[in-house]
Amino acid sequence: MVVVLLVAAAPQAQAQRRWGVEIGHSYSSAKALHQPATFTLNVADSVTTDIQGGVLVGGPIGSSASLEFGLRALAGSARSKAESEYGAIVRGYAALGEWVGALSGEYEADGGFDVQKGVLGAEVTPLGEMRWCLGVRCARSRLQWRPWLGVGVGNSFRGARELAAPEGRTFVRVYLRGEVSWVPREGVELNLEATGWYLARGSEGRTNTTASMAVDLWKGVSMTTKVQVGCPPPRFVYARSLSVGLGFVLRRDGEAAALGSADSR
Amino acid sequence: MKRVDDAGHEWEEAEVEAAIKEIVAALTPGGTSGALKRATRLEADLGWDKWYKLKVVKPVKKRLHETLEDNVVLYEVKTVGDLVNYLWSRMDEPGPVP
Repeated sequence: MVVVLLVAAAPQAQAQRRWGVEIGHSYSSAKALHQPATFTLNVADSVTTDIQGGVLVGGPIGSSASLEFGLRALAGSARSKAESEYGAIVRGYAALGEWVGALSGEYEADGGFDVQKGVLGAEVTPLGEMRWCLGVRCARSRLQWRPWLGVGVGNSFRGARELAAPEGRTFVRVYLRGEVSWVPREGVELNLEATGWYLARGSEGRTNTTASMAVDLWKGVSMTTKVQVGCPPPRFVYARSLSVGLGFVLRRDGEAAALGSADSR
Repeated sequence: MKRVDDAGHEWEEAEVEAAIKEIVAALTPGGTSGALKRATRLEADLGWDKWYKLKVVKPVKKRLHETLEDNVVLYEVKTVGDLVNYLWSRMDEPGPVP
């Protein structure tokens, strides 16, 4: 049957005092960056590859704002061009009282670059609330979560109108994204990122969920299970995957995190 | 040696550390200041995420009369000790008595 392993990179930003690098499943959220970035080689029937990863470089601008640059990919020969996606983002954050606001410009493309979109986005999240485990891990449940509410205005500047569906040439999308982390016990971490989009053109909805469970084995080497189900942009084509395997990563502050996988898509 | 906050109040470093621990404990579910060490990591040990760290800015301003820069809190403050050191570095040494 299947498989062979993979993965993961070990970004380090010790040399750069304030700017850092993180690698994970995607740059879309902090919890997505806690999920493994994986490269999977499947040698069962034929040799196929599956790449799921993102990199984010970020740091401060002035005293109260910050800027990030990111790249992400769901790609590899195990995925069809419609199921594959690439993205790049520039995103700025600023604290606004008890809220954090972000403005972003993102490039999205499918696997064959048949559909390419540019999206200007704005999103907000509250700083946090202890009694609701919002932004901080609750002592009893060991649960932590964070919501983001956002809106994107974009243009599909390459690709036939039918390929760009359900959004069309110009579009507005409103989304709610939730990041959830659960640490049932020391050394075990579950991370989930779920996004629901309301697509103004056609009044349609789409969702996408990625989740991972990492069991720390030794100094950042972990056994990881990773799942993705849903219809991510730019094509909003339904795709799902399941990966299980070993991995390793270091975050920019030197803390070990779980990563990795072997494929059973 | 004492230092002075922006409101003119004098602080020993130990007093700053105690005040910071009380603020951090009050923002941590089930937290107590006695359980906190200078090496306690806000994210890895206390479960704070990146943005939640900014919750310290307001109580520090109210109690210790110092304004923290958001980006220093976000990118350089990893531990309770980092926060104590940052706050202590912002306080002024007392000037000569006229």
